[in-house]
Amino acid sequence: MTAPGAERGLWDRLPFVARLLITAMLALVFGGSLMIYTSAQRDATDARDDLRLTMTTALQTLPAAMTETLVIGDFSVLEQTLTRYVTHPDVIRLRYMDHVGANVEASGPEQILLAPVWFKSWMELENFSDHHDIVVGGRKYGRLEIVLNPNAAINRSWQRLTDHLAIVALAILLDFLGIWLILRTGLRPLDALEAGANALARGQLEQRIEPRGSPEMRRVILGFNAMADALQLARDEIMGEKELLQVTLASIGDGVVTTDAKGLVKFLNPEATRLTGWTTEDAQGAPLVKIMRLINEISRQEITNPVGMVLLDGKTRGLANHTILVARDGQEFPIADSAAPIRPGGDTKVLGVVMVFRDQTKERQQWNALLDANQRAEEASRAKSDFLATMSHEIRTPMNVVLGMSEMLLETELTSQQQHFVQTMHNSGKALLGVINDVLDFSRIEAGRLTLDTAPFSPRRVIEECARLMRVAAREKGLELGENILDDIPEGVLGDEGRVRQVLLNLLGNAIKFTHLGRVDLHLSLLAEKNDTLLFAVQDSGIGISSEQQTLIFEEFTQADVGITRRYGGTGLGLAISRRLVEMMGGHLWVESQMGGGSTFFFSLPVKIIHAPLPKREEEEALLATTPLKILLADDQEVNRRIFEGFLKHAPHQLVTVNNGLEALERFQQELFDVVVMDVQMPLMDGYTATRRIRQWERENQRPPTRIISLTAHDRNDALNPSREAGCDAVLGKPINRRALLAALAKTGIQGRIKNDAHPLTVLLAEDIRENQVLIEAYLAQPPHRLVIVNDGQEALEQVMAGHFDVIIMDVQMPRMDGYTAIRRIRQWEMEKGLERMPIITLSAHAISGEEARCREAGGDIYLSKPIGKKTLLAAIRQVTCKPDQIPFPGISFDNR
Amino acid sequence: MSRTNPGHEPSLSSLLWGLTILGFLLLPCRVAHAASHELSFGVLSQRSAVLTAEYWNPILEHVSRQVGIPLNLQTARTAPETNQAIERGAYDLVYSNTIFQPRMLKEGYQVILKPRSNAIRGQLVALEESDIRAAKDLANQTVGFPSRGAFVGYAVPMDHLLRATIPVQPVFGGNQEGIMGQLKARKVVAAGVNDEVMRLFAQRENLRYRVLWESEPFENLPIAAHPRVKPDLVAAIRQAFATMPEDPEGMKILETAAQVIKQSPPLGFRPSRQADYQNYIGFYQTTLVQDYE
Repeated sequence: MTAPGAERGLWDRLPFVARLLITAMLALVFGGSLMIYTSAQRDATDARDDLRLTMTTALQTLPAAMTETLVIGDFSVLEQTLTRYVTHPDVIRLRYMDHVGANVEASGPEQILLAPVWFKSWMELENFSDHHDIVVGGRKYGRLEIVLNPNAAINRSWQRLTDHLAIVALAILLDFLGIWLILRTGLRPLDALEAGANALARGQLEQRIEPRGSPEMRRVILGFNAMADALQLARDEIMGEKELLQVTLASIGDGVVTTDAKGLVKFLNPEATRLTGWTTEDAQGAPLVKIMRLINEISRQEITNPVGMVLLDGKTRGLANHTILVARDGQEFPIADSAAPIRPGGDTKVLGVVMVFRDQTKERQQWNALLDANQRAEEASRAKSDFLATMSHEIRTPMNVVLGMSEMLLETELTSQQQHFVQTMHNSGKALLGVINDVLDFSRIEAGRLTLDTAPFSPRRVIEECARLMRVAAREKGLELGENILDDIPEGVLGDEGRVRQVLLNLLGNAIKFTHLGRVDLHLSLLAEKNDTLLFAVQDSGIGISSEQQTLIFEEFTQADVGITRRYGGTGLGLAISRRLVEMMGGHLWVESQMGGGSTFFFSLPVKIIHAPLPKREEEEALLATTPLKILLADDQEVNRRIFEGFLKHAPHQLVTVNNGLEALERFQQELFDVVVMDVQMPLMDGYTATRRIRQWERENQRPPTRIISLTAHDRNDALNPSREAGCDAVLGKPINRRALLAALAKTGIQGRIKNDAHPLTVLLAEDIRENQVLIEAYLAQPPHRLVIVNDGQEALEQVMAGHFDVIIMDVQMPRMDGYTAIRRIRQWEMEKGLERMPIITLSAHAISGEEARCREAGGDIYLSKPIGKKTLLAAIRQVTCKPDQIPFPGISFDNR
Repeated sequence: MSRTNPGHEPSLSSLLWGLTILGFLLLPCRVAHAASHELSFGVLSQRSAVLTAEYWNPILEHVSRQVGIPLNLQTARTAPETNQAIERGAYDLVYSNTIFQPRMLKEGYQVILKPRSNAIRGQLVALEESDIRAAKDLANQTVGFPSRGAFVGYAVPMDHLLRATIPVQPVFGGNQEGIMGQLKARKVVAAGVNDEVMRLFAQRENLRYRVLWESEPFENLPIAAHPRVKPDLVAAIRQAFATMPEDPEGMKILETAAQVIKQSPPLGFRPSRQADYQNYIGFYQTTLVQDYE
């Protein structure tokens, strides 16, 4: 585009009319020339064709006309004929010559060439001649020669050419005049339009033009007037909107500042003026960063105003937290701010930036108050958790002593009455522990601190184990406990096995408690409409629950009635906890019952079915993890020996097999074995005989008795006496059960270790509570171990640094230095000294989740939760005093909850 | 002469007239000049000159090659013109039967060849469907004839009518085809015709006709030689014509020529004498017809 005033070309200076005329003239000249040229070309071609046609016609017709004359020999007629024909305008000469030389010729004057010579040359036409021999009946009479002249044809073409030229020239002239006249008159209203447009440009929006001229021009003028109307209306509206916008911006509670594309301030609303201290008049044209100085509330560092980045990339930006606006007078306001690009369209160029910011003085104050409140709430929550932990600790600690002491007391010689008293006391203690556990569980649920584990487990196995656990209690009341597991139950699901077991045991316990006659059944099926939801049911033939009571029993601290509480005991928390647990697991717990007609408690449990093989059970792993034993198996049946080998495939034991009692005796006398498994019926020497011979050999050789387990295919009860008489320690009935076998071997391991590792261990006990010190001292008195007791972690650390211990029993809650710190210091000291890790058993009265992980994190090997039984403690000691490479599964928890 | 250049017209016109006069003056000289090198062969004008030339030129070309002297075809536009030339003795050889007319006899043309075809007869014929049953029924009727030059087509039947005193109104068709066409179109009630020509016409046009009267036979047109032609040359010419049918090449030429005028076999000529045409001479001496040509 040429700038105004710049030098322009000739074409640019030409008015529209001249351009149109030139264009039209050029088009006509070009088109006319082309037409004339092509027409002349065609004329030249036609002229040549006409001459050829004339020649052809003459050669066809003239000889025929001459033949008769020639045959007769009438040359005068022949000459007349030729003379007549030569009058044709294109023919200038005809000549007949016969064979004897007679010559008759006729010539006409050549046509005067009217066209210019160059035109003739361009047409490429010259005189054109041809001849024809006249033959009749095979006799050649003579030859006719014809000469044609093209001048007539050229004249005709030239005449057409000049005619065409004249027509084209006339057309150009008329076209020129027509266009000039039409445009001259038709464009005259443009002057008025130009004047009107100039008036509009000067702001005279009331300017209008009277429509005149051609219809098109009238439409243009009408369009101009409509445009002027629209402009006038738009200006009025814009003025109105501008006023509205100014009022709106003034009314906004937020500060609003706009800039141009260079970041220079254009406008501030009153709130922005209040906060920055700048008015629009003062700030207009100043850089925004100058009037809006931002700093960080905490660091007091300057914050870069985002306006620059917004102008750069056109993206909306907000300010970081803790932004302070420093006003013109130095006053500070906490603000929240955003800067957005101003652009009329989505992707158009950024015209400027609008910054909107809010004085957050009040919000910050409210926020700080909220933060304080939240902090206080968290502290209260922590206090509650600490209280729970403390309660757990403070209650379990004496309970540990009570249960432990009563258990120890039961091992002493007591009168039957004393034994009854102590047993009652022990049972009451366990009941109290159950109550405490319930209360703690409920507290954890209420506090939202109870978390669920998700791990693979077999629902079928949970049912079986719960049934096995509760079967003893059921039998004691003369009840039958049945289990009914449908075949379509998946083998493995994901869920919290412990909590499922807890709910089931609670329901089973209630069922047994409230049933005096009949049976209790445990059902497991799939919910009818969903194959990924398990449905557990505990059905009893007990006293039943009325419909009114059915709504109450799931309430906390509620039983059916007070009488029941008095009669059956219980906290009334069990069902409430169960319901809450089931609901936490996504299920639903309900009861269907009739008074006197028994009750059925159902709970559904949505699970995720897994198809991978389930990991081995902890218990089974524990059995497999027993001390490696060397086992002698005597059985004459090959298949039995293979089964035995299969059972022990994953156990760390060494198996030696023989075929009969005699071989067993001989092998026993040659090698040392931890246990002998002896089939009682074998050829050559039966199992009883072999056992007796082994016992005799042991006595004779002063060897400690080796554990011998007899295998019998008879009724196990029938085999008990003869086995005991022969010297066997245990009896297993055939077919052998793997679990029973592993359990029998595990027992051998414990006993064997204690017996065989008769040397006393040096044990460090760190425990601040005197009663617990006494209890553990009593646990470790038989077999006797050397026990060093300290009262806190600091003393324990000093003792460890002073001498070696086979095992450390460390309470984690102690004064001066707690157990966690002491363990960490011990581990650090061991590492610095390059010493072997001493086994550490941690004791905790905090029955809260996460405690075990905390103990392990500190460096403990085994975590035990108080109260602690003797067997549990001894098993733990045995576990940690095994060589590390003999511990198949280090870190197994012996939680005795 | 030019329309576009009238200024040149007088001189061109004078030139043309001069050339024309010169041409006429030179013509006899040219004929005479030719006579010393070639023989003129006049043919009675019965057809158009072009047809005549197309028929005779190949035959004369053959005979010329045989004889060694060119035979140049000469004809005129009309039979009277031909007769005038015969009467003047303009032709060395002539193919015409008018040489027997008394006024022609003085030139002494002698017959040397006659056609191999049968002799021809003059006939008076009417359409079979016509009421005309006999020649006498033609009295006062319009009877068509080819021309006054037609010997068997006019002179012979007209002589009969005159002798039988049957007055008729004669009209002329110009040639044989013309008058036969008028008969077919019932423009004339009867016609004098050459019997052979009539037969071929009726056969071609599927026309049934009745012969009212028929003349004695007359030999067809002979070839005669002027006494000035040397006898040995005449003999050679007679020989050449007469042997054409036996010569394959000659026969082929005769057949090709015959197709031009639709002539039927037998083709060619055989030697003949003046005596074979004595009835012509007798007819002319006694005929009552005065206006034959």
